Amino acid sequence: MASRETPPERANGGAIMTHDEALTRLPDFLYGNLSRDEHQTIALMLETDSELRRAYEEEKLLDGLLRTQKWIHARPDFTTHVLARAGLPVPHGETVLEGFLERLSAYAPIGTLAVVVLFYGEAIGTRLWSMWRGVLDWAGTAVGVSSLHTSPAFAATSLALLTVAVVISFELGRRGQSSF
Amino acid sequence: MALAEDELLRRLRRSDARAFAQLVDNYKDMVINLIVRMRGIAEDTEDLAQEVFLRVWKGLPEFRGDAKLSTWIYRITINLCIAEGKTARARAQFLPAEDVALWSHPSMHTESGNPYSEEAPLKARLARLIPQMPEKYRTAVTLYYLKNLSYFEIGEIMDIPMGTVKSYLFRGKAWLRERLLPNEPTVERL
Repeated sequence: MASRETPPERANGGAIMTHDEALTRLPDFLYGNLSRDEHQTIALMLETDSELRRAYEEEKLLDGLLRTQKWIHARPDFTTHVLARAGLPVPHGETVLEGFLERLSAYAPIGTLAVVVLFYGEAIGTRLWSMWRGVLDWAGTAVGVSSLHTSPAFAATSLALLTVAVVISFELGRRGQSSF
Repeated sequence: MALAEDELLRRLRRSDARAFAQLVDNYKDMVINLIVRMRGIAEDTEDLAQEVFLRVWKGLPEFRGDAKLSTWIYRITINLCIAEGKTARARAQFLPAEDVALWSHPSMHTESGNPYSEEAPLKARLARLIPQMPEKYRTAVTLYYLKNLSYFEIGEIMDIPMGTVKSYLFRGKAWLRERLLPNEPTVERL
């Protein structure tokens, strides 16, 4: 039996480890959670330290016993009993219509937006364009530039606003979908 | 169709009975086995499991979602087992023989050269020993081996650091080993 206090010879660059240290690391050795050096050191110690080897066999046995205990299943009506005790109705599964309505409601926000754009897109666009030009004309008059709405800055600003509107629309649609 | 956990939680917060039924279906076996490991087999195991889910239902408005839903449910189960106060030690003394047989597993793998050839009786003895373990060791060992929970998850459930989880596991197994394989004094003294 190897000495408890004397570390084993360093072999192939393996880590030095006492008997008691090796004992505490047996579970990690079993699961391969050690560094290569530590694993190699314990493997060598197991060849020479009979007490450590016995402890390792026990660790394997106990681990196997703990992992393979009988799994018990609840009675089939367990959930029904819980729901009854909670004062809840017992659901009878989701019907096709319920599932369809649920998915439909998830797409309602973005669907509504699409319908509005489809029927009133041109009118809304024209009106918004007109309003925006009015704002720009007012701003141009204020700063003394008469053709602000035809300038590159106007085009860039419009494009940026459109992008923001699209992003907000998608985000609203996504949130609406995930909230169901 | 089974719901993902975040979706399930959203519906539970809206007091959706169907979502709650799914939650119970998802976790009932785990909760029952956790209770059995913690307390030993008893007639009121399913009653206690039902009580766990009632507490889950009532506690949902306060559940902030900081931890996983499963972690929260296991914590409630463990706390209820502890609070229920019927110690496994007393319970195990009256464990009927047929209950012990329930735990044994005839197809247990036997490794050649293993000095312990009769593993089925060992397993039955182990099943009786676990509920008698000190509470903290029992909880750590049960969570680790029942559901392969990580040290981190066990630490969250028990509200202790990971290092302490490892220590409890080590000492818990040493406690079991000393009683299950009493001829081999190995690590208990550490």
